[in-house]
Amino acid sequence: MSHMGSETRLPRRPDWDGRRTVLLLGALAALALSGLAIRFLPFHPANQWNVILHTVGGLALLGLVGGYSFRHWREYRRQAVSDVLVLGYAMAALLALCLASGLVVSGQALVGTRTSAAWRDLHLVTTVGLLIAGGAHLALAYRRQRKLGHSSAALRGMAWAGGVCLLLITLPVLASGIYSGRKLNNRLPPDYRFVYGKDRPFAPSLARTATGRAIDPQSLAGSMTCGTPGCHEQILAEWLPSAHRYAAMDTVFQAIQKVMAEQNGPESTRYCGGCHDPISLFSGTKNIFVENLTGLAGYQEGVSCLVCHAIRETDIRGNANYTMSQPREYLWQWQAQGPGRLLRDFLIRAYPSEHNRLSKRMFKTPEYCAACHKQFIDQEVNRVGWVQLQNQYDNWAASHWNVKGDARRTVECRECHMPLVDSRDPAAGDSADYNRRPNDGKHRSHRFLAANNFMPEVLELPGWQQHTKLTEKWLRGEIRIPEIEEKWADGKVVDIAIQAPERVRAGETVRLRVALTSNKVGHDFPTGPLDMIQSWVHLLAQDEADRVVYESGRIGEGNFIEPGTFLFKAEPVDQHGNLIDRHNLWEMVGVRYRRSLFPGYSDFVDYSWVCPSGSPEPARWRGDGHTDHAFPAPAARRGRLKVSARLMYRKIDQFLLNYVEGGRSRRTAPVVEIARDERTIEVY
Amino acid sequence: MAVATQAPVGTPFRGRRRRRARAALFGLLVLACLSAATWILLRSSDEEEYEPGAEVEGITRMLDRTVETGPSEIIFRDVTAEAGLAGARAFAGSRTSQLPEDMGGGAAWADFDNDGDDDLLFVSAGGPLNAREDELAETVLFENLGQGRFRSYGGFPTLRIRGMGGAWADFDNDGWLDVAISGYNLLLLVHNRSGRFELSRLLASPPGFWTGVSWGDFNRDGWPDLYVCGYVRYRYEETDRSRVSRQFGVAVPYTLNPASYEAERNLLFRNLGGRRFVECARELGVDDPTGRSLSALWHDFDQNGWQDIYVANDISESRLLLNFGGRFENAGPKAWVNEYRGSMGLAAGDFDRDGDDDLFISHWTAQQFALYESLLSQRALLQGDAPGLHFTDVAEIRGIGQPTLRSIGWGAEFADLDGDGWLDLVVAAGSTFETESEPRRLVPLPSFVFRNAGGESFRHLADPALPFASPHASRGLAVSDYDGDGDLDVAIVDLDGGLRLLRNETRQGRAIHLRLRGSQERLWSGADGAVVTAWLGQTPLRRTISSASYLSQSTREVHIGIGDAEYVDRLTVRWPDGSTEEFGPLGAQAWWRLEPGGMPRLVKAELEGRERQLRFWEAHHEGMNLLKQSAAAAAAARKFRQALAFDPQHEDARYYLASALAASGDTAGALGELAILARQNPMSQRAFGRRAFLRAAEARSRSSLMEALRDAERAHAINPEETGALLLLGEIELLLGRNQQARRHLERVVQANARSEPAHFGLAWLAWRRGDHRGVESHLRALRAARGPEGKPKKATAEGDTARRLHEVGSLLQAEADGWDGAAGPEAIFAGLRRRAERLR
Repeated sequence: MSHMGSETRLPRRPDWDGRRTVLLLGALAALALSGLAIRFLPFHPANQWNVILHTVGGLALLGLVGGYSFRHWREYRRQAVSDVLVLGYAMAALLALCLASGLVVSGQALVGTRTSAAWRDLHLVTTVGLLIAGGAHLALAYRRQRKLGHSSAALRGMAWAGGVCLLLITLPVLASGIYSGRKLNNRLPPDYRFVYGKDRPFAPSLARTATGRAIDPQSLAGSMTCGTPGCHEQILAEWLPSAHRYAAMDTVFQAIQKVMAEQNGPESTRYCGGCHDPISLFSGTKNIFVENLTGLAGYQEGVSCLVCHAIRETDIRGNANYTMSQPREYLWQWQAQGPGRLLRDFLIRAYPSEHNRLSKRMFKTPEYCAACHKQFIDQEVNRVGWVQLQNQYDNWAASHWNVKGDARRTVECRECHMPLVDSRDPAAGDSADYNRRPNDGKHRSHRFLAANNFMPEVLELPGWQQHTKLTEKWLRGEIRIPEIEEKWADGKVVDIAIQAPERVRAGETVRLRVALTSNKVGHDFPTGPLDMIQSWVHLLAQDEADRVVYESGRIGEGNFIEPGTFLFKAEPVDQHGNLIDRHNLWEMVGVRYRRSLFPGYSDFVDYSWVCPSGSPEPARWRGDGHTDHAFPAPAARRGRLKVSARLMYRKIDQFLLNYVEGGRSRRTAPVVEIARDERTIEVY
Repeated sequence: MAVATQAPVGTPFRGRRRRRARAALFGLLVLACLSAATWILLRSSDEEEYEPGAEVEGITRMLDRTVETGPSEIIFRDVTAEAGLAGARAFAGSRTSQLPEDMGGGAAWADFDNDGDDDLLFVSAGGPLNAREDELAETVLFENLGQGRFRSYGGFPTLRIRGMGGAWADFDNDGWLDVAISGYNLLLLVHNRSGRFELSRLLASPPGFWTGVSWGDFNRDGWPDLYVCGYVRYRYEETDRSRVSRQFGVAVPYTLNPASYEAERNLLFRNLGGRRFVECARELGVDDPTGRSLSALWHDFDQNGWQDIYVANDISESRLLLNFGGRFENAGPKAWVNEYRGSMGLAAGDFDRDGDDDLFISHWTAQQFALYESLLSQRALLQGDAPGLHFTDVAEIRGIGQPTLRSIGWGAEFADLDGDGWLDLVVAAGSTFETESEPRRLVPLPSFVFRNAGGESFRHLADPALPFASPHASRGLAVSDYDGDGDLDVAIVDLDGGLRLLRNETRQGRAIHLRLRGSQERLWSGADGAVVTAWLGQTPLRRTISSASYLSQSTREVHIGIGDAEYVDRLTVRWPDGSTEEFGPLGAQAWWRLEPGGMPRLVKAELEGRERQLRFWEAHHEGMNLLKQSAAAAAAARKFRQALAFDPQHEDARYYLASALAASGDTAGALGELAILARQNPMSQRAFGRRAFLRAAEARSRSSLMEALRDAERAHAINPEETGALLLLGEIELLLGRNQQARRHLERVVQANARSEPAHFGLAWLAWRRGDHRGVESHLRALRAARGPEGKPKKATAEGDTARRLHEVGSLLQAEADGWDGAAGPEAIFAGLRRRAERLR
């Protein structure tokens, strides 16, 4: 180093070209440069190695830097204050801060669940400061040395240090040559059939990839590794029995996909793949001559974590109109245990920029959900013309739940189906939602509670009992969502009310109306696919001795709902008017009828009976859209009639279940009572 | 002076006179020469001598056919040696000029080991009557090893017999074919126990000269019964050795003349559940005690669903025994097929593709072979004069008579040798006469191949290069595609040699190959007696699983050549129990397995699996485009047929085929395809629903409506929750006038589907019928409301929305409902429906 005054005792000639100095200078320079590379160079295996080596180097340098700095300080502490001295102290302070912040970040990455952005920024800022202060310190010291004629040693030392730096910063590149993650196969099979042209390899699904090429199935799978301890464990547990998870393994889906492949061609199942089985779709599995149209990864994960989180763009046209980007992988990303997993976790936390790209603002929007929760068929599929299929998005958009620009009056998809839950998850907190804070200790449930209370049990998915219980509570409107209580409705999902006279004379006609009102539902109730989902009214009238005097909506022989039941459902048909009974949408051109409740709307069904002699009479049409049913009331006998009306729900109709299970099925999908009302009518 | 001017007498002419005289003399000379020449010429033509066989003016030969001695388009090669069959011997030792020595033996193809290819039983005639048993040539079962190779099957008993014929059938319905073997004083039943054979004691073996054996299920109980031909009651007398007798006017040794001996009766063994046989020929009147029988063919000639028997008798009248519900009637005279010639071998087939089976009979020398054309398909034309089954011998005009006049025929079979869709004919020939130079030998004769020229005539192919042309004393003949290459090959038994295997190497048209089997519910595992009709458009190609030939049996695998066609439009099978089943289109160059109540299953095909799949999808998708985009129903039907030919189990293709046929006006065709769909998938609601609709829409009578009602009930039972079948039920009941049931169904429809216009219309009609005017009004009001908007915001979309209706409603009343303008009164509204309902009642 140099001196500022002639009175000052000069220390011994600075050891510019000493081994320790060279190594220290070179290592510090390499660390600084690698740190900048981490921040500013693209995500790459070499840069991930860089993170690891940077951390290792930083830790290794701790002792060396400490010793060297102490000695350096002791040598120069008595020097008169000079620019070099001030810079030397600044540098020391920055170095200390940099090392400390680096230690904190490394510690968070190693043992925490995420690293703090503030500490990462401090580490970066101190690095930049260190480079500036250190550079100035060295430049001024070198100038002084040159005046003293020691420049050659200084130059030699810096050259050696530069060499060390160069060597160190090439190490990550060399390491990435040894291991750079998995080799992915992003090519479609050689015999892949481009039915709708080379530019639309996944048609008739509207799903596409950012490159227009295939995506290796492994690239979108691996959800289990997202939920390893210390990571998104809680979210994974929610997702495991969810409909997104079993979108492809759903036995009904699998059966229908098989039928579609056999009857309409294997390639046509791409239509379903965009939403039900994107992993298989993008890997080119849904192709002619393929026996298993769902690959293993696609089967197990359906709509995996990455399927949703790697979507880059969506359109509200529906039918999986989204663009999938291939997420870039961390080294050892799919290691669920061992040192690989430790390093993977460390990299994700210490170097989270790529991981953070998986969270997007658009995920909050109903339009994002609309990519799959809106469906249609057009001529490409049925060869006849356009037909709207299930469409939760447009239902919602046209409903009173959507008040544009007013988040406090609008209830969006995520608010009901992904309510906030207490969280210890790294993803807890959100600053971008109107009613959230970054540290609110909550995350949005990835259970996606909705109306399938059947499939988790069939598949015996992890946690299916709890999931089914919650689903049935959901169907009955018993799930509380505190954060939207003020703007959402209270009570049942659909209200049912019997309107009946309090008294009726024996022998008179009893008129009874059952009104049904959509209360909490954000879209049609029930919502599609209406060719298989059923909700109906079960009306029961009993006398005081509990003898059934009338019943409608009973489940009869073979678990079929008896004909003539008031039923929310649709009967889609093919061109020749025959029922679409196997979800054979490739033949669907319209509906014979459809009955569902628009949000906030009501529907009603009238029942009535005449009991002049206590004997049943046939039903009569009243002319107002409903039928009078006649049943024997206790004629000329005083007493009471107990009448109950129950709104029932079943996820899958019996014919389809029979079909899926290869003939007459012994079981039926579980029936849930959504709402119930009771009345007593006095007979005098 | 006067004397001087008079010319002297005798003075030569001079000058002009002289020139005139010369010219006259020359003219006379020329005239004389011409006359002489004319006279000579005239004399010489009159004097030309007649030479037998010379062309004589005024004699024409309209019946003559050109005998084609040039290269034949039918090509066969003798592969006996390379197939490993050269060691088979039909006769060991020297003949002793006794009748039983000269009649055998036979060949019978069957897949005894169920490995998918035909094996061959060779029944040897054994040897002379004075030979010891161990000196007789062996009867051998040759196992087909594939690749055209055979070997003697070790699991078959060693049989050194004076054999005649053999016939396979699974008499105990255990899935393994057993075999009956006849011989001189011999009748054997060899039981196949999963490939291991043992002699069965179930068949009592009476002494006799037993010739042709054949299986048929005369009582349709599912258990094959056995018919055994008895030839003559041969008795050896030393004194007969030197006697000469006349057979049809020809001198033959007494001991070789069947007329020297009394006829043997025939036997019919009724099979009692595969556990016992009871001989019942006399009881049923089929023992034919006066007939010297050589072959018997089970075949349903009159197409009444019961297998008849034709018995070929030598030097006695042949018999046509028609089967009426298990009882036989000798119909030969009435059917004009009462043969009097020396009949040997038999073959049946529809050579002229007119939808009935014709009969070929090979004869003794100087008698021509017979080709009896069945007139069954022309029955309608003959109704007035002679109803029933009739035949007429067309051998002469079809080109078979003349070439066979001097031959002696035995085994015979109709077989489409080139896959052009026309049945050709092969006949084994061999003399019963001994050669003059070497009496121990029989005179060898060339066998015959007749190529069917479009059903008009048969061309005798006498190409010397054909192995058939090689003269032998042949007897049995049977055909099979033993090498699985898609064409029919021929095995011939030569009494003066052994087996000859002639491989067909003819360039083939396309063909379908069928293997029929019974099912567990229904027996007859070999499907013997089943009649298959493949339809090429309106042309029937009939084949029957039955054969007799002479002491022989051809393959059970059905081969149907279809020429250039890629598929047959549909296939009808009449199973041995009389039931008939449709199988829809089937693709060529493929082997299919058919079972009753099931769908065709592909066994193997020339086209590789992936190529077949591609071809299927190409045709299917083209059909879909034609049907749905361009509404070209007939063209779409062709495409769906093509698709189904590749994959007969494809439900959508069949459903669309039915839809396309219905759209093109072929309701019967559509109903046929829907019937197959319903059979294929009994839970196919659309099969029954669509059929109910088509039947009801086309109904012209109450019974048709009842059929439609049954279909609708079935559709409703399959899925009681849907309203389509319910609506149809209500509508059909309404048309039947069963108003209460109709009302119940229709009210259930509107309870689920309040916007069902036809249901409201029907209910309004029913209210009108019972005089409920308020009811009429309310239902018409509801109908009007159903045409209005639904309960949702204007711009909201909902599942099932379309820009316009793209589907048929599938309702019988929709047209009437549509026809209501919303204003007309009940009388006007219901006038059409009233007329329709009254017409149907």
